[in-house]
Amino acid sequence: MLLVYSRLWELSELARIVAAAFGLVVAIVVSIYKLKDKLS
Amino acid sequence: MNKNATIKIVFGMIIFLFSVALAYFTATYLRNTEAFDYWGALMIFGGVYIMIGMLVSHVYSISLGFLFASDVVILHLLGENFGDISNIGKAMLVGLILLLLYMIAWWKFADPVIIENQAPTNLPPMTPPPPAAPIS
Repeated sequence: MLLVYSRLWELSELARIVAAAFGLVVAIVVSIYKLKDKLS
Repeated sequence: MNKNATIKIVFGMIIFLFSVALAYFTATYLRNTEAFDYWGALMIFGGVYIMIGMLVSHVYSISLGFLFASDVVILHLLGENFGDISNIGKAMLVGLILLLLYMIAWWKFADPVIIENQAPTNLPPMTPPPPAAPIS
C-alpha cells in the first residue's frame, strides 16, 4: 500500500485523486471489518 | 504494545497519509481548473475530516487517521492565511480549541466508575433469626 502511495505523484491530476480516494476507501473498509475497537 | 495495537496505529497512519494526499490533490486540481479556491477546498476537507473522525470514534484507526489529517490541514491553513493574526495569536487559538476539546472529552466521555465490594442497596435490612423451638 505504501508502494502504491509513493507512485501517486507519477499519475496525472485526476488519476491520483481517484487513486488516493480508492486507497483511503480500502484502508477504511479493512479497519471497519478487522480493527473495530473504541478509541480509549 | 501488543500486535493488535500496532496494526491499528499502522492502519491509522495509512488512512492519515491517503486522506492528506486526497485533500491536497483535490485542492490542487480545483485550483488548476479554477473551479474552486485552493484554501477554501482545504478548509472544507478539514471540516469534513473532523466530522468523520468524531462520527467513527468507535473505530480507532479511522478516527486517528482523519483527526490527524484534519490537524495538518487546519494548521497549514492557519500558517499560510489569516495574516492579520499574529503567530502567537494563532498558537493561542489552536491551544484554546484543544483545551476546549479536552474539557468536553473529560466531562462528557469519562469512563463509568465501577465500585467493587459494595453491597446492593435494595436488600431488606438484616434481622436476627427466630429462636429455635425447644426440643421435647
